[in-house]
Amino acid sequence: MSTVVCDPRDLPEDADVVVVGAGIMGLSAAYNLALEGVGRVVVLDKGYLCGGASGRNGGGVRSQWSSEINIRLMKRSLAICAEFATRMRINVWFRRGGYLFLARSSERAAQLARSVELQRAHGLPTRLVDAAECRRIVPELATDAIVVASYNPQDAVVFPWPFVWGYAAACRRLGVGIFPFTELIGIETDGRRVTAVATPFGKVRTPLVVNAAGAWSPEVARLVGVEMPNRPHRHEICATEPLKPFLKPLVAELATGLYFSQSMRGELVGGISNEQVPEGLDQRSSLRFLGLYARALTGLVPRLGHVRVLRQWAGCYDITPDGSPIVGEVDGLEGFVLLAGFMGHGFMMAPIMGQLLARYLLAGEEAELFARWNLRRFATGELLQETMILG
Amino acid sequence: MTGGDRVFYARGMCVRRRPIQEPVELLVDGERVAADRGEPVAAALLAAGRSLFGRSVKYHRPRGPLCLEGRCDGCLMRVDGVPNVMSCRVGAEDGMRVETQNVLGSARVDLLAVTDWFFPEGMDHHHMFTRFGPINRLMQKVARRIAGVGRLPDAAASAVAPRELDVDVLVVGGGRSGIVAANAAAREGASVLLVEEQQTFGGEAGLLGESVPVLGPPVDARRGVGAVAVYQEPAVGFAGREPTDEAVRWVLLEDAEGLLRVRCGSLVVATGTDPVPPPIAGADRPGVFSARAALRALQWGIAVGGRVALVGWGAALDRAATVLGPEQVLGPFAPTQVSAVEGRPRVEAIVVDGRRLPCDALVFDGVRSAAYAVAAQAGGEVAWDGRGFVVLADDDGRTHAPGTFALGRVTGRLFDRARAEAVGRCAAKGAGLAPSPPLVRPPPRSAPAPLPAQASDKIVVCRCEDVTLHDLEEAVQSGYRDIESVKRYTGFGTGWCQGKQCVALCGQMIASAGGDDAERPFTARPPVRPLALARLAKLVDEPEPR
Repeated sequence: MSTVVCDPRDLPEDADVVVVGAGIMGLSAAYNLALEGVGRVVVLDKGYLCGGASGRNGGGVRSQWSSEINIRLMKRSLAICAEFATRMRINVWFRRGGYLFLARSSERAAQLARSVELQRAHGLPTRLVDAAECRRIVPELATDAIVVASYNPQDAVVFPWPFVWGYAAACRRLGVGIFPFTELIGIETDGRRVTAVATPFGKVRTPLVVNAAGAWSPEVARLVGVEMPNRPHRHEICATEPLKPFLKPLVAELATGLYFSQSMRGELVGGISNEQVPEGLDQRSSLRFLGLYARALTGLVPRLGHVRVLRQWAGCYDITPDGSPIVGEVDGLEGFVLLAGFMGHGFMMAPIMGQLLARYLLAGEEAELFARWNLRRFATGELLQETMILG
Repeated sequence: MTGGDRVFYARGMCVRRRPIQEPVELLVDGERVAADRGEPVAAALLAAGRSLFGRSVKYHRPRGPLCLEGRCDGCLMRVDGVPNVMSCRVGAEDGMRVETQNVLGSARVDLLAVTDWFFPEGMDHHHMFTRFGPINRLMQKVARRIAGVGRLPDAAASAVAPRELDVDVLVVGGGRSGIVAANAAAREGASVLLVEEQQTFGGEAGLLGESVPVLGPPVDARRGVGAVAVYQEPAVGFAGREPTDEAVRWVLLEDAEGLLRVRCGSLVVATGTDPVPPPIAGADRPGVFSARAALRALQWGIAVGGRVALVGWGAALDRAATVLGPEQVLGPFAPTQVSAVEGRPRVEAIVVDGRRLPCDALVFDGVRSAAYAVAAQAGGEVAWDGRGFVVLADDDGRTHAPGTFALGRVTGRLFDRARAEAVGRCAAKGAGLAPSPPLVRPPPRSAPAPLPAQASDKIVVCRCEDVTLHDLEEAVQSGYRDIESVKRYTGFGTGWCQGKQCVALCGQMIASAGGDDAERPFTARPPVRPLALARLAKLVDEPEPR
């Protein structure tokens, strides 16, 4: 059995592409580049696989968004996720239990109504449901404070880790070299274009570097003097003891940012917004989070009071000033491509974004999207808007 | 407890050595079971001859209590409509409803145990049934239906506000080291809170019948209080607390009533060790107990078996042999001599050097894992000392985390009265001490332990998640060689005990299978033990956004 990941001492001297970050975004990009025929693809990561946000998120995959572009992309991402297990030969426990977004104020209700209209216009089966129907979908829900909810039965949850392993194994089959514990310490240029990357294990000459380092992407960009406006913010999650399956959809509440779903193992996995978190690469757990989460969750589902938390952890959101990603080339530096700034939903976007990036770089497809989400919008002031962001 | 207290045991049964004082009746799966009011429910069930308490999460293998200390998954039951209750942690009350969980049929005839039979080599849950879409979808439907352990609770729980405490010195662990350090700190004039998770002070020394230091009167000493987590953060929105801008260390304690949120100048960790079950095929079945569990059961008036095989080494095992009596015990045997533990469902025999020896219980000791979680969460460094993971501390108990001290077996050292007093005095002088001096690194890992011989049954290395030795080997062969990756790939250490019982063994097995030497364990995530949501729901009192 060949190993999925490589020993850093076997790092090659030349590559056609070096992808920085072996999270799902980087691996999806590497896989799709190799699939489209790029010969020598190398992926570097400073830690272990699943050590960043790809291994720390809640596994939600939804097409309920408030902007046309996110709705369109997530429809395609969901389709890839649905086929992932048999295509990549690894179980990702994709389950279409739906997403139920709750609103407890008329403002939030109006916001949901607008999003539902847009989603329906794009062919999604999302609908507005009242409190009584919420209770039919989740009988344990305390619905007295709920004004309205939006429900898309096609949205899903997955187990995040095997997505990473699945992409890694598929990359390996295509000859991609994945190097965990191999930190990027420098990017070399000839003043106009990228020429090589440096690691503690040696240099790799390459004309193309893809920065898919998520919350760490500004640090990577700074190695070549590129300033990115995205910033890391801690987001916390916890998991309870495993219970027999009772909860079908992922339930989310817009005002508090609470969300929770039941994993294939039966644990309730969820998180909540915490406005008090300062910027920074902080992956420590907090008591304040547990307090906010437990209050909101037991308020919505009182029968969960006796259920115990087994484990809490934190990961970093990759927050951009306008809530939209930062992708594509950097003006003035050829061969340095960004694939970052996916807020808290990079995981669900990665299957489609890796595919689009490969086709964009190799065939120029989706140029409009890569122009709209380019870094230069922060210089020109053409910012975007997305309101359905959790956490 | 002396040799004269020995009783005669009916073969194959756990027996009470004391008559019931205050009789009550439990309703166990609809049948009446006699109990002594207030005794652990698990003790009453064992005394009533029940060793099979439930079924494991994945393969539905039979499970029974192993640790009797609130660490393992063995005694989980549904109690009065609450799922996944550690029945060794709740006192018996009249009319208490106790139910078996995670079975289709009964605990004894669980139809889902076919899973164990269907996957004799273990289950490669990552890759099974991925060839054809319809079969994959069907498999996922089945897997979801049988997932989980307990059913949702019957009713809501009322939220309890945390109590607040401020002390100069908080000592976690009421064994000898903790008691001596607490007394010494109190003599220096510090206000001292000492908490012990179990119901008796004295820790292992108390179980072994050795003398236990007397607690001095100024120490606020509480039993049945466990540390559940340590955080470093500002108080923002904390109910009953002035907000702070600076990050403050918060130690969360839990007793029978609820949570205590403690601010302390110094934190002293004397949490000792946890026994590690040996990697023997079939040793996850009911009737396998740690030596400490056997001694604890004897304190409760219950002998764990009539003919007990001893496996391993150590003072607790010797003590268990003495108290059970030479007529009742076999061995001790080295774990490497024992190739299998047989029985259906509980222990009926062990196979030693190819010979089958009938017995009705197995009591083990030997490898211990330092109970490092509290110290690690406080910022202390944990490293491999050649036998297991220990908290690094200097002679004054200072760890890498300012204001956090560790002593005793959690640091890999034996009890030393003079050192414990020094640590207590140091802790009393406060958190204002300079950051810890450089600490002596533990010696490099000795040669990895040999892998157990191939056996026909599964060798379960992580009981809570049914992870086998084979699973660890497969992860390493796939290239996931470091302990964090192997944890994720196999799921070991992610269940009820969060690795307390298995991380030391798995660290060693990963190295033996050709993976990396684990210099430190995987991140010790809060909470240290399972923590009910209702108890957390009033920690924060700022208004909730609508």
